[in-house]
Amino acid sequence: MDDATAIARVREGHIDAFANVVERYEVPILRYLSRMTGASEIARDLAQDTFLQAFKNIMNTKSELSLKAWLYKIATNNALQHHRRRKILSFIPFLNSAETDIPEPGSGPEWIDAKVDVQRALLGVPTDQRTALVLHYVEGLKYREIADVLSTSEEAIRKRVARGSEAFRTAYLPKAGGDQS
Amino acid sequence: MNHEQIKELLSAFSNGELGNTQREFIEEHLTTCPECVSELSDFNNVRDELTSLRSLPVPESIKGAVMAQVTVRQTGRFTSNLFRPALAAVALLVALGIPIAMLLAGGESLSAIAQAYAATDGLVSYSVEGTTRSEFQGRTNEATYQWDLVDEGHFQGAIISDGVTIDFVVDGDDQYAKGAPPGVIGGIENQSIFSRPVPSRQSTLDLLDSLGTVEELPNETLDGADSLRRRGEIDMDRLIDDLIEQYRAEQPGPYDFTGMDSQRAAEVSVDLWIDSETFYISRLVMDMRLPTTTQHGDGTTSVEFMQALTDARYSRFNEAIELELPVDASGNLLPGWQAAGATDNQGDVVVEQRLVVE
Repeated sequence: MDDATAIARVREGHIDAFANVVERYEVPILRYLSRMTGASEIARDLAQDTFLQAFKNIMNTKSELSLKAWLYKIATNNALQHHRRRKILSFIPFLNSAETDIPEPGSGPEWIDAKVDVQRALLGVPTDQRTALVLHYVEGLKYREIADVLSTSEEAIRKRVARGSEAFRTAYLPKAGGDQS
Repeated sequence: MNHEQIKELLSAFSNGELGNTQREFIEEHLTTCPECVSELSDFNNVRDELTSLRSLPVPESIKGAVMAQVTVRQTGRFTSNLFRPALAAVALLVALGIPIAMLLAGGESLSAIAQAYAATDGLVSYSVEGTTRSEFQGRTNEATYQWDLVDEGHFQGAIISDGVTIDFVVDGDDQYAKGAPPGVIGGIENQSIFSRPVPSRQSTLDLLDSLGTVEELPNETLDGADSLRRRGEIDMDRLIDDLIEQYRAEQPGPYDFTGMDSQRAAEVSVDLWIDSETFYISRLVMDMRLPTTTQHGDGTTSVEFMQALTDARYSRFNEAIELELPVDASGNLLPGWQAAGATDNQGDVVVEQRLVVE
């Protein structure tokens, strides 16, 4: 069942067709939110919210809806909302740290350990730039598609990716260099 | 295209996001410009590192949970998202603002805590400085900070964490930072840099609200002033029970309080030095032992405890505090400072995120 058919069937009241949508997109959405938040449980919660919001609003969308871009858009809003919500709690220092569950180096297979510093550095990139970086490099979206998800221009995305790359490099390379010495 | 224009496009070039004409310009430029070749190599490395994150494990499927709730929704019993495990911790801490504990504490301690609450509530300007030290899985982190608050929208200070010092001045919408990595002011509120936030006025009030038992200790002299000493514990069980009850009353099920329940194991003790005349809190020490879920590389999870200690000193209560804006007489930024909302020559906002005090 392709996206258009699934959407049409959901609109007709066939709830089961929505399972098809979740099945197709849960891995990219979970992966995207994991990389954005650095915390798998938070990512699962936000991903659930994403699909529930999609289900709730699917009746109000245009028939030519790009499901993929729309889901990323909802997920992005949820990730940003989560970021804002965290600030409300910012006085409790432990909670911020407890939220991320990036594995410690040495706790897993070597190939995963090698990614820990990458994920940590990524979390140091400002949110709007991180969004562009994850959508492009991890999720494989083209700049044009990201511009659609974030409701902005390709030019703005080009700059965010470039600046985000610089920010990532600044956060990551000193550490990587130190590890090598 | 000149060198600078080409430099701006190197990231997009690296990612195959340019049209033929621009790509050809750059390819030609690269044959004569070692600086751009080097920069391109850096962008290529970033691409390789970030692309590698695709291969990390993805959290387990949510399909069952989503479809269960979709079905519930169809039958008119759509559940709130507040009580799923991870977000539950957020709800719990929001609830720290509910003033239940003060009402239940007894005797003279109630009076001291209540008066400290009233004094803190009446604060507009003050200074706070301190440290927060945490230890988790053998790693320690220490942040020191110093803030002057004129009022909620106007403050200045510095945070030092992981060897990085960030100075900042916030004058309403005019916001400045110095010493922050790219991303600048946005980075201050990012936990990886600003890893140990500062207890603000509101957060201090929230803390006082959440105290369960309060012990009276002998008075001490702090900076020449007689101080009432109190030690309290945050009553996690009562707080969580109360919150669960409240949500059960307000929200239809089904519920999942797993995340909320996991926070019952938290132990937070609070030591206070309260000026015996003004009832301002002059020193606050929080000692915390907190359950933290860690995801291991093999996909399993375990709960370990993080130890954290915050020691903050407050001063200059309601004194006139002036902001020192980092601009010269002509309004130009002083060296090293960046301004939020500044625009580059393309008209784009350089720093989009804003500092806030909660």
